[in-house]
Amino acid sequence: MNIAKISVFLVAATLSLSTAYAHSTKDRSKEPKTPQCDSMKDMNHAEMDMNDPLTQALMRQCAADEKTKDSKELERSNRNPMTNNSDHSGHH
Amino acid sequence: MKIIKYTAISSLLLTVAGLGFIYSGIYPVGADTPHFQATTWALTTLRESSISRSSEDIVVPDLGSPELLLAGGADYNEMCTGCHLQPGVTESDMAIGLYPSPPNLSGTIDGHGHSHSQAANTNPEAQAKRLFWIIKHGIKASGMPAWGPTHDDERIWAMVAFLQRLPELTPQQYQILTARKGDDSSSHH
Repeated sequence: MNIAKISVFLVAATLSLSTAYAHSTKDRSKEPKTPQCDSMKDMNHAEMDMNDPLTQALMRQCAADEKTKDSKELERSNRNPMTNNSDHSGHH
Repeated sequence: MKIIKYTAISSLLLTVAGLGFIYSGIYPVGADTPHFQATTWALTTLRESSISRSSEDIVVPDLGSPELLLAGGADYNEMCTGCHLQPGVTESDMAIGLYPSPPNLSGTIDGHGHSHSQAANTNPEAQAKRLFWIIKHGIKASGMPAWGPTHDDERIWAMVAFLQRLPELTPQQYQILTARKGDDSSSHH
């Protein structure tokens, strides 16, 4: 009887552990990488079909990337106001 | 009466011979030893017929949205490229070592080295059904897992949407689509 109870427990424990390994979307964020959008600048935008979901997805990734770069630039300049001061009145 | 007797004896002998063959270990099961051509034909035909029949009633949703492409691309990049490769990558250890060899999904359908049912080659809807079924249920004894137990249908359809566009992606476009910038909660305002 004890062996039966232990077996049931082991099976239940194994099954519960296996569900814990389901690939969650949150796991994607472990190794973030930036989209290399420079190649988009070389593309002829006039020839791109803006109704194509593929084009929209590419533009969305690169627009988000531009926003991130701009906000990081703003953060950096706010932390170092001296680098923005172009008025170098002479030191005496 | 004689016919029944001979049939019964023949069936028994065949069964014994079959079991003897199975238990003997004669048949090579190494992934580096290809099947006989007849075996390959039988298994391939069985596989394609089974997938066609099992997937025919699947209802394909609208796959034309950028959100699906982005979601599907992320999952493909994380879970599939080791075997099924990506634009600019022509081989991997898994792709070389597995038998049957996993199809290179970044190439065109006819460039896979796999036979597909004719309908899937020309009909996007049939192709979508086929891809969905394979991703969800996997294929026995092939190395292709069933992702259904761990991924809901929405995520699988996103992968199907991405797979349908994958053959036309350049390596640069692939990198852009599958790039992720980390958890949004890390940004400060």
